[in-house]
Amino acid sequence: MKYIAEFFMNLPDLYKGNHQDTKSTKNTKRKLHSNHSVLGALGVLVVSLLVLALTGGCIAKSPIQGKQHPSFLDLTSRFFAPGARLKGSGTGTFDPHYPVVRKGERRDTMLLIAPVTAKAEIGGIEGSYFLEALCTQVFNTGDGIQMDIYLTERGERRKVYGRYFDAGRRAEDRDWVPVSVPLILGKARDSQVEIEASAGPQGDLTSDWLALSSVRLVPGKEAR
Amino acid sequence: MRPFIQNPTLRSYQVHRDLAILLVTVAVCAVPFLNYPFHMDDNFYMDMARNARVRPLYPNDTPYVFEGHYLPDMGSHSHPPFQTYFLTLLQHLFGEGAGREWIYHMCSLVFPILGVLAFYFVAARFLERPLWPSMVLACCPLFLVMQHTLMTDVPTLAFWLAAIACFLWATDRRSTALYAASSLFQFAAMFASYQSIALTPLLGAYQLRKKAGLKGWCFLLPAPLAMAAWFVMNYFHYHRWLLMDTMGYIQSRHAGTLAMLWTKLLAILEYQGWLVLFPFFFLYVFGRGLRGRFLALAALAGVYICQLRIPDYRFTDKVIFVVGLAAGVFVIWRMAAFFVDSFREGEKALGVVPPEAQFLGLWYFGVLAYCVLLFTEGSARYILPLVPPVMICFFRQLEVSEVSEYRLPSRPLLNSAMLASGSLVLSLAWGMALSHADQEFARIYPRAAYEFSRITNGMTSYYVGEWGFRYYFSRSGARQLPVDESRVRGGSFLALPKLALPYDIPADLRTMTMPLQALTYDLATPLRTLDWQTKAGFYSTGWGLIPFSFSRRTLEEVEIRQVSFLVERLPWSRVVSSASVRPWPGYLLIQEKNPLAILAKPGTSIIYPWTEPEPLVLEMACGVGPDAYTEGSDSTFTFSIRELGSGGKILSNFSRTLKPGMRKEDRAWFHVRFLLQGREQGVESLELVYQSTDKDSVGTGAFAEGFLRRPE
Repeated sequence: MKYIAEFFMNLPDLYKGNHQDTKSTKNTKRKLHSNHSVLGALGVLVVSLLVLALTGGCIAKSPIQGKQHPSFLDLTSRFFAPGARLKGSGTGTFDPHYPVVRKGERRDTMLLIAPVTAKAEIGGIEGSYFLEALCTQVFNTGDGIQMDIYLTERGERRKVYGRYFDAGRRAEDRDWVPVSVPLILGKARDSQVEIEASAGPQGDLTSDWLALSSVRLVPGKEAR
Repeated sequence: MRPFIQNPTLRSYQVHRDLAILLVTVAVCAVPFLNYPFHMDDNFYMDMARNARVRPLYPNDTPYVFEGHYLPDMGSHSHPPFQTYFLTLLQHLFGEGAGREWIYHMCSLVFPILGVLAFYFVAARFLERPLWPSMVLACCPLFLVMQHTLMTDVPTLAFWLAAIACFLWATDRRSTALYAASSLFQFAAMFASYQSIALTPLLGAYQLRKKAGLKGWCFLLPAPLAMAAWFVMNYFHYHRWLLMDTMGYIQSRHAGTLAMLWTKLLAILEYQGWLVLFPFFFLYVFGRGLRGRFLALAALAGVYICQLRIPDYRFTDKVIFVVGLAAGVFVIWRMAAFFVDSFREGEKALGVVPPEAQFLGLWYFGVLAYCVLLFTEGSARYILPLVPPVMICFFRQLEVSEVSEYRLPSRPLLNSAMLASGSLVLSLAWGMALSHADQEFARIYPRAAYEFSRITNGMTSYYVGEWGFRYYFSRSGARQLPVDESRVRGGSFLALPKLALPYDIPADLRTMTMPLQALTYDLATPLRTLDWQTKAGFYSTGWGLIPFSFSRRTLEEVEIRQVSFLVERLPWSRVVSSASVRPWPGYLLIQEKNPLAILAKPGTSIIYPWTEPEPLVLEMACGVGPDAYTEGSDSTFTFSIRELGSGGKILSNFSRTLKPGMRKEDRAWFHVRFLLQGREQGVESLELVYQSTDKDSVGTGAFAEGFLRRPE
């Protein structure tokens, strides 16, 4: 390292040369000096162009700069499934981050392998909201999967939404299905949303994988 | 030995003779491999070359799906389009098609020839006999393997060497023509690979140390300026700086993490240990200090790192790793010593004057640095530009040893001359063996594509992989799996390789597919350049940390699946059922087999609209679930397959009635082969019927598999 450092420190001297200057060499050096100034300027230009080429992309609007402040409450990280297995492929599994592709669209999803219930605490929120998500059955086989959404407030549990996904038999279920559930929240401390995935009407749990993406609470008209 | 403080001279008769020898050497080494199938990323450049004929200014501006990821354009690909333009020219002149690979390889020989000849002139600046290292470069295992591909690595090296050779001699002779030629080659190198921008500071440092005046500086500017102008032009077209996305991709691969940097460094040591020369020569020439203790120490360190980093590798793979690592460490050690010596006052590194020795050191360590820091992973081909300084250093060491050997009372058996010729012969043999193994690997995919096309027989088919697999499957009529997997219709075939970068098929589509056949490919040679089982990672550290391995196991397996027509089309079928449950796709276990099936309850009819224009054979297995009968019961279950014409008229019918309660053979799957006529023959729909004489039966019946094939 020492030698390398010395090399770079001595570069100017090496460039000047160590010999004594005579008159003629001084004239030559003056000419060279002016030439070197031009060279230096050109060098700066090249370096600037390269730096611009390499870093100029920063000028472009980045997706983060362009993103607006979210007007919704993302619930993805709030969900948990007591008693369920985390990850894996057996029944009764909950995976908070599982990539699923439907119609060429890859999404990070919350995966529920029936029978399982995932819960999210939403205590202290008041007003009119929509619980929104994009849902899909992961596979195109099986007899379908039942998704039920419950809201628990002040100890009272009520079903607010239910849908049967049947990608094996229904073409419209072979896609991301937008779900929007209106909720009136009463600022209860124990407010909780539960999403339950269960077998279809035949009770067959084969291929009963349900994926939910972008699960969030969006303010309703009144709340806005 | 000439101390190399004077300017070297070249005699023209000697140069002509040497160049002729080199030309013949390159040609002779290439001839056995002219029929090399297109391999690895050759396919990408061929695709872009096709696009260049439509969009000559922006050849990479085309939507592309790589490893299953859709990209709106390939502008930010890791390489600028020099090679694309070269292939465009070849496509224009010679076209594409079966058996034309040799034309492409023959034309591409211009690059190894240029590289070797240019290296001769570079070596002539440092060595008394430049012919030897140039011949060894022509026979270098890495160079030999890579010259049979259409990727940018050998062209980059060729232009790199040509630019350096011209610049070094131009500095010496103050020749404007040579400076101009260097400038042109610099641009060609940069236009082939972005990393060649390293030539500017490298040659700049040389220029500075040689105090060569203004002219040299002037000829260093045009290439980066031209590249900058090209970037600006592309900015206005793509509305982004191309390299920003390239860097984003590198970051997304976590190329800068400590673990990845360590992996890349180890891989470089392995590659340079095994693939520049046959490793014995590095171990013997560079590693014989301290009476062999140095060698023992390196081997010990190698074993330690081996156990730390790759404890799960087989013993032979570990031996390969340790040998490669030791040889690689000696190379880096010798280059470092050479570089450091060049800065010491009064010392000349191997007799080379400081500016030139420093130039070689900067060259080697510059390439090493960008290979470790910039690239997404380790790959043997990335280190090609650092081969020349290593070769020069190796042969300079031999020249120095040769002088000292003359002073000895008797010359050793392994003297310098022996080592020089031995390195040539063994490296050539080693390079040929590796090239042969790689060629065998490349030949798998044209064969697989042919076999696949015979199976699909013109029916819609898709492939899910990259490299030559993609090229040859595409050429045989298969299509790349679309990003929107819902566009894949029932009856389509899928080909999935094990090695050629298969990517995940979306789960919804995968569940509708049925395994049809597996094509396996073994090689005659046990040598492997890439292997998913034995960690050979010549082309990428993603497979393993050793540049080659030995194995007798199957190298590639292409799994062929078919999307079940019955399952995929079920939502569009019409169901007539007296049962409360509509038929559904699932699995029914009968005699330990549970193939994908349409499951139904008795009294169900499923009518599929039939759109196939030509006749197809339907191969199906039918069976009754164990829930449908009890031992001794006389319930019968009937499976019918019918072709319906207009107005539901039955055109043909197949029926079979089972009595599983009475007959044991009826409890198994029974197989049906049914010829379905096409729409042209008046068929409008296909009907599957499942009935039972027991009206109360809820026993499940299965129409399983349902493969569709063209009749032979």
